[in-house]
Amino acid sequence: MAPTLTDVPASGALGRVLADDSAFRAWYDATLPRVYRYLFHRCGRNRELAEELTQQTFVEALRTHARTSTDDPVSWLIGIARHRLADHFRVLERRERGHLRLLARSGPATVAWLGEGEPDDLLVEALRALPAAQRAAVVLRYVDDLPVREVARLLDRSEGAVESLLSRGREALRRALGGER
Amino acid sequence: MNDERLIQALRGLDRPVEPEPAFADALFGHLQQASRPRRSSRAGLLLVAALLAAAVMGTALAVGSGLLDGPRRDGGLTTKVATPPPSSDSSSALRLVRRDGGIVTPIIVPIPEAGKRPSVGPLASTGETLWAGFSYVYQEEAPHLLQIDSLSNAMSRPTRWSCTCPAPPGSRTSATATASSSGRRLPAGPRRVVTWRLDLAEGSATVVTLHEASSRFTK
Repeated sequence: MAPTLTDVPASGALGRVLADDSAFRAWYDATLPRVYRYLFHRCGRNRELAEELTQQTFVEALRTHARTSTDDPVSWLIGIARHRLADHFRVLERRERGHLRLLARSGPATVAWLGEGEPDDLLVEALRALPAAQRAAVVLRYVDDLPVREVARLLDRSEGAVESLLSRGREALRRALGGER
Repeated sequence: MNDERLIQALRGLDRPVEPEPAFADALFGHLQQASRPRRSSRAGLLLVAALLAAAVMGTALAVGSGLLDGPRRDGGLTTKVATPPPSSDSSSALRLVRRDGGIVTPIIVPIPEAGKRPSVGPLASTGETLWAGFSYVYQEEAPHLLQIDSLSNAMSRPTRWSCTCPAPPGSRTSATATASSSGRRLPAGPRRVVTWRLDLAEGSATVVTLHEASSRFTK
C-alpha cells in the first residue's frame, strides 16, 4: 500500500529514514509525486525538464537534510524545488540574453482559445512562449501564489522589476490567448 | 481575457500528474547510492573515533603502568634538587648527556647530615646508558638488563637502590635491591620503564628523582 503523506517523516528525521531502505522508499514514494507535480506544471509540462529538476531537488534534500528541521517535509521539498526552478529560469534568461536574442521573435505567439475544454494546454503553451524572466515571475506569483516580495527575492530582482515583469507577462499571455486587454 | 480570468487559469494549472515509474525507480536507485557513502562514512567516523579513544586509553594505561616509556622532552633536566649542592667532585663524576650529545651536569644533592657528606660517583659504568624518562629511568640499549653492581659501584657505599619494575597495566610493583658487587641483575627488560630511586644509606641519603626526558646518564 502506498504511504500517505501523514506517514512522511519530517525532514529532521530523514537521517533515520535513510538508514532504513524500506523507510526511505516509503518516504520517497510519498514525496516524489508532489515534487514532480509541482515542477512539471511550472516548467512548461516538459517531462524531461521536470525529471531533471526533481532529481536536483531530491539530491539537494539528501545533502542538506541534516541542517534542516521542519515538520512538513513536502513543503520543505517544494521549497527546494522552487529554488531549483528559479535557477532554471535564470539559466534560461541568460541564454535568451545571449544567442537566442539574435533570433528575432517573429511576433508574439498566438494561441487560439478553443473553449472551456482546452484552455489549460493553451495557457501552458502561452507560458512557454514567454521570455524566461516573465515566465518565472508569472509562475511564482500566480501559479505558486507567492507575494511579490518573495518572488523578487527568489529571482534576485527588485519588487518593482518583478511588478514590471508581471505586467508584461500578463499582457503577453492575454495577447497569446487572443483575449482583450 | 481579463487579468482575473488569466490569474484564475494560471492558478488552476496544477493538476495531478505522476512521474514515469522508470524515472521514479532510477532516481530512487540514484538517491540510495548517494546516501550510502554518507551512512558508511558516518559509521567509519564513529569507528575511527572509537579506535582513537581506545588507543589513547590504552597508551595512558601502558604509560601509567610502566609498560611504555613516557614522553621525552629534549633538553630538559633531570634531577630534582632536594637539598643543598653536593661537593664539587660529584658534578665531575656524574653527567647527563642529551640525545644530541650535549652534556649536562646533573644536580644531585645530598641531604645534609651532621658530619657526613656523600660522595656521588657515576650512575652507570662506562658504556652503559641509562635514559631518564618522565619520572623514569630506563635502559635504552643492550644489555637490556641493568646490572645492579655497575650502578652501585657508581655510588658511594652503602647504597640502596629501589626499583619500580614494569607491571601490568593498572598496577605498579616495586622491587628493592641492595647494591652489592654480586652482579645481581634487575628485571628491566628492553626499553621497559623502570623507576629508580637512589638512596644513599645511613644518613647520607641522596634522593635522586629523575624528571625529564632525553637526558641520559653515562659515565
